[in-house]
This record gives sequence, C-alpha cells and structure tokens, in this order.
Amino acid sequence: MSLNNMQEGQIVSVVQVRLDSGRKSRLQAMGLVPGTRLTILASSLFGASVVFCRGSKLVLGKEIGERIEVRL
Amino acid sequence: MSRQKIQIALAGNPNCGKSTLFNQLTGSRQHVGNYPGVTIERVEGSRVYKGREFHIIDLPGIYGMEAATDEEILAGQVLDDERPDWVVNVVDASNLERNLFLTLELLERGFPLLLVLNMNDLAEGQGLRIDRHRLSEELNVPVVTTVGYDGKSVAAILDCIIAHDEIVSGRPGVNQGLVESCHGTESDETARACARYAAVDELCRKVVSRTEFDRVSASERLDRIFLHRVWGIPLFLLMMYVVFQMTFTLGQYPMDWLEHGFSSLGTWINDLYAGRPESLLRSFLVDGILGGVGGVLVFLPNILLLFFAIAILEDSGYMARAAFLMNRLLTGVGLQGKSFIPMLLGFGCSVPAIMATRTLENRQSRLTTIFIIPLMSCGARLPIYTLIIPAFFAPSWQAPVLWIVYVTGIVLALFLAKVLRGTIFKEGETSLLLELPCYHYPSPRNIVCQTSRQGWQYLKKAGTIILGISICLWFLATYPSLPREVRLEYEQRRCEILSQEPGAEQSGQLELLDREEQESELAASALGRLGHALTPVVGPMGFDWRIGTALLGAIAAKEVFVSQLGIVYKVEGDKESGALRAALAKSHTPLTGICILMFCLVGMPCMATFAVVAKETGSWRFALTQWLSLTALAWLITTIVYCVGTLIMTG
Repeated sequence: MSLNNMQEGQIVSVVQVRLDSGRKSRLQAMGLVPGTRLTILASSLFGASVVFCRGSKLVLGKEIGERIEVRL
Repeated sequence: MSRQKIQIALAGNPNCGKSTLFNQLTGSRQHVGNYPGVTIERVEGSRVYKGREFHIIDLPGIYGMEAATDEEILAGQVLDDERPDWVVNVVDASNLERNLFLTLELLERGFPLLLVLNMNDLAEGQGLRIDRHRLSEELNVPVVTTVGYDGKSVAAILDCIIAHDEIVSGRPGVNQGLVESCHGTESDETARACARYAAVDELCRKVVSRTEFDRVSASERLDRIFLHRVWGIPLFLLMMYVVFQMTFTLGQYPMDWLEHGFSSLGTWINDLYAGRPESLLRSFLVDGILGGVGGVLVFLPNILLLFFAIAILEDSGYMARAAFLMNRLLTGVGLQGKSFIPMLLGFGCSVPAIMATRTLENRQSRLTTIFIIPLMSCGARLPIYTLIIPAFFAPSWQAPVLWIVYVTGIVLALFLAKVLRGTIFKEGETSLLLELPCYHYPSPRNIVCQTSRQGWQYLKKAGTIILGISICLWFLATYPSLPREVRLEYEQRRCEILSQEPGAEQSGQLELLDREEQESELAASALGRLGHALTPVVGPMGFDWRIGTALLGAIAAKEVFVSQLGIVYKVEGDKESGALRAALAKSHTPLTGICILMFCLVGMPCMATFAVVAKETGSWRFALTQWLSLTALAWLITTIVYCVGTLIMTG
C-alpha cells in the first residue's frame, strides 16, 4: 500500500521507497528506511501528506507519497 | 599544547540552528564567496578567542553524506580536501534521531567531532530529556549543550575545543563498536542506512528518557491554525498582505528622504556650474553618476523592508508552511512549493530572488522559476506606475489599477511556467519534500545577518551593473552632441530673452528654452536617433518615439524611464511631477497608459537581472533567450491590448 492511501492518524511502517537514487538517498537520510514507523498527521492536505518521522514533521508531495510503500 | 590557529567546520542538518551559531561565533567577520563550479555559497568567518584564531566554515545543511545532492557532495569534498581540525556537529535535540544519523556518518569517516546539543528547550517542550554525559560516553566525543546561543554558550564551545585540543594523546577516538555495527558486508546503501538507524535507535534508547507523554507542543498548536484546511490559505494571504503593506507604506518615508537628498545634491552640483550649464562634467556628474547611483539607492529602504519581513518569516519557521500552502497551486503549473520564496523575493528585486532559487533541487524547475521571476513586478517599476497611473486614472481607480498590474504579473508568470514546463523544461519530477521545523522566536541576529546579506547582494550586483549601464546610457544620450550652429542659435535666443524685463515671464521663457534645447540634444544623440528609428516597432503598441526613447533608457534600469520621459516631454522628470502627468495625459489616451504599464511589467528585464541570470544559470544564451522572449511577449501582449482597446473605443 502506498503512503497516499493511508488515513490521518494511522501509524505505519515503511516497507520500501521506490524512487530514483537521488531522492531515495535524501529520504533515507531523513529517516525513511525500511522498518521506520511513521505517524500520518495529514493526508491529501494542499496536495501533500504530512508525516511524523523520527522526531520531525515532513511534507511529502503526492508523487513521492505514491512511491513510498508502507504497511500497517 | 593547543594550536594557535584552529580550523573548524560546522556541520549539521538544515534547521538545526547551525547558522545561528555561525553568526554568533563570527559576528561581522564573515565572508561569503562561491565554490567553483556550483552555485552553493561558501560561508566562512573567523573569531579570535583567548589568544587563538579560529577559522570557521559553515557547511551547507545536510541530512547525510551519501553523496545524493550537491550540498552533500560538496560538504564531503570540503571535509576531505580541507581536513579541518575540528568538526562541530550541531545537533537539534528535538530531532535527535535524524540528527544523529549524520553524526554517525561523520564518526565513521573519522572526523574529530565536537557535538553541540542545541534546542534543548524544544526537546523538553516535547517531554524529552537527554542525558548528555551518557551520550558523550557512548559516542566518545565531547558534548556541549546549548539553548539558543549567547556569549556564554559560544565560550563554552570554544573552551571545549581548546581543552580537547590540548590532549596530547590525540583526537577523541571513534567508538569502534558503534561504527562496526554499521559496517560489515553491507554494500547496498539502503542496508547501510538501515544499520545506521538501528545504531541510532540503540543509542537513543540509552540516552533519551521521556518525561511526559501526549504533550502537545506549541508548534503543534500553531500548525493547527496555520495549516488549517479551510483557514490556512486565508491566513497566508493576510500574512502576505501585511508584508506588502509594511514594505510599501513604511518604505515610502525613507524613499522620499533619499529622493529629496539626491535631488538636492543634484541641484547643488548644478548651482556650482551655474555659469556653464553646458559643462560636460556637470552633466556627467548629475545625469550620469548621480542619476545612476540615486536610482539604485532610492529603492534600498523598500527592498530592505521586504527582505526583513521575509527573514522574520523564515527564521520563525513560517516560510516552510507558506511553501507548503502554495504547493498545490505551484504543482498545478509544474513547479512546487519551494519556488514560492524566490518569487516572493522578486517583488523586491529580481537579483536576490534569482539567487534564492539555489534551493530548488531540480534544474529544469529552477530554470523555469528563474525565467518567470522578472514578471514579479520589482520595486524599480514602482516609479513608473506611480507616474503613469495618476496621469490617466481618477483617484478612485488608482489603487485597483495598481493591484491589477501586480496580479497580471503573477497570473502571467504562472501561465508561462505551465507552458515552459510543458515544453522545453519538462524534465524532472517536482514533488515536494519539505521539513516543517518547529516554530521559534526569530533571532534578531539572524534577521539582521540575512537582511543585510540580501541587501548587500542587491547593492553589489544590481547596483554596480545599473550604475555602469547608466553611465553608458549617459554617453548615448549625450553624443553625438548638438552641432555648433544649433547651439549658437539657442544661445542667441537665450540672450534675447535675457534682454527683456526680468520677471516671472522671463524665467518661464528661459525654462521653456532650456527644455527645448534638452529635447533637441536628445534627438541629436545616439539614443534619440535610435528612439526615432524604433518608431515602427513601438507604433503598434500605441507608442510614439518619445515613449520609445524613454523605454530604451529603461533597459539600463527601470526607473530611468521616468527621468527620460521628463526629457522627451520637456518637463521635470519626476514621478510625482504633475507637469509630466499633464503632458502625458494631453498627448495620449488612458489606453496608452495601460499599454505602457503592460509593456514595463512584462518586457525588458533590467541589465542587472540579465547579468545575474547568466551567472547563476551558467549560460549567456539562457539569459539572452529570456530577455528576448519576455520582451517579445511584452510587445505581443501590449499590441493586442492596444488593438482591442482601440477597437472598443472606436467601435
């Protein structure tokens, strides 16, 4: 399931990040490695999702959210 | 024995307070330069403390070092090439896990580290407590805690460096155990990152304790308001309104003083040369240099105020929210939320705005943003609007028309962005990836540093080019000069007037004669001839040679348009000049007024913009294409407006 399909308030785990190496690297450095727990703070807000990841709030645009695979 | 000169590099995540520390450490002893080959600024400074000289380089904020972005590659290179004596790793305590990821990477690479644990107050606000001694033990590096930066904490950091520098046995070693758990046979980057975060998790388990649960931080509460689904955008618009109101109304006072000052200076110089009005040096000083310098400095208050407001919004953390709010609109045209800040800066001056596009990761997205920035009506166009609008529109219409001009610029910019991203700049994904930092009180020192830095960029880059071009323009407007016979003719007429009775009529006639002479000078000069030659080009827009000549002047710098108009209409070239407005109103219709506004809004970016675009994009071709395209677009739009308008009026 992609991140974009999740609802506000859910807590999910990252499975995989399917992006080009540049953006994947950055997302990983920011904490989105397989196994990381994310709290969905907002879904589809102004065209993006907001997640709480390892202590910080991240805004992930629609396309990025599409390519992050998570599970509950 | 510690060294006399110590090299330090500051490393840390974006938003960790690293730059605040840098500003506090170096004060005014800062220098901003460039790294060769990339458009990332090289920020360094120095500080003398307890007899030792510290040379400090502020690395760009990075999340990791696995060479993904320009910043990360650069930071790695600088650290490898320059091998600083100490790497001061600033860590945001309220975001410990992510910040420690970088710390581990730095330790893996063997850099001598000093950890600065910052923003403890925010951490406590979230109900966390960090055991600094345990952290220091586990990582085997010295740790200094700070809350914001003042003289004391800076002294603590420097003292810590000095103390550890003196340990004869060498640098603090890297905790082998911790590092080994990251190494091993992992060759895949993801696996490495995973292992590193596993080590971070382990470390945090030992070092962090949660004192309160379910505590909603102040940031959280603020975001419920600012990022509200319904009220978020109206609040944002209100914020923008306040910013612009402040810039334009507050900025008016110092702008008026400066203008007054410059014109007094001009009068004083003119008086010095009272006996010899045709003196070339006088003309050069007053029209060339004073006109050029004055033109640049007059906007400084306006521009500084805008940058000041933007700096406050950025430092407080609101700007990230603004970029988020604007994201959907910008995604609709193929850009993303981060393009918002450069576009906002463009309302002050295009030069710092174009430089601010460095934060955009995707090159084609960045080029598109640079392309449309001149359409954000900059401060220099304001005198043109101030002159033209009251000349042709009744008082109740004036504010709406000004507003329409600005909005047209924005709408056109968005439209152009969409076209560009659909055609020539269509590569590259532009999904937003943004961190929302905690809100905090803006630090006055940061604000002053950022505002003065951007203001300085304007003065140095825009200012010097505009001055240079103004001088060239002066040459074009002065040579070729009037033929001797014509000059003698004017002299003769002057004598005739002077032989009459002195009084109001005489001075009126003298003034008229002066202006007539000025106009013929312009017509004879290169600039004037060019203006006449361009009549068929400007004709379809409803302009005559006078406006055409004034527009040529605007190529140097927009505000020159007004003074040039003054010359061609033989009246005082001042934007508040009632006489000039009357002259314009007499010879043209409001439609022409609108056409002038349109053309000045869209076309002919000033030379300073041209130069900076060429430098930032690394391509003169791009800058030229932009200049020609925008001017052609301006011509097209103005011509259409003129034709349609004429049809409506005569139909």
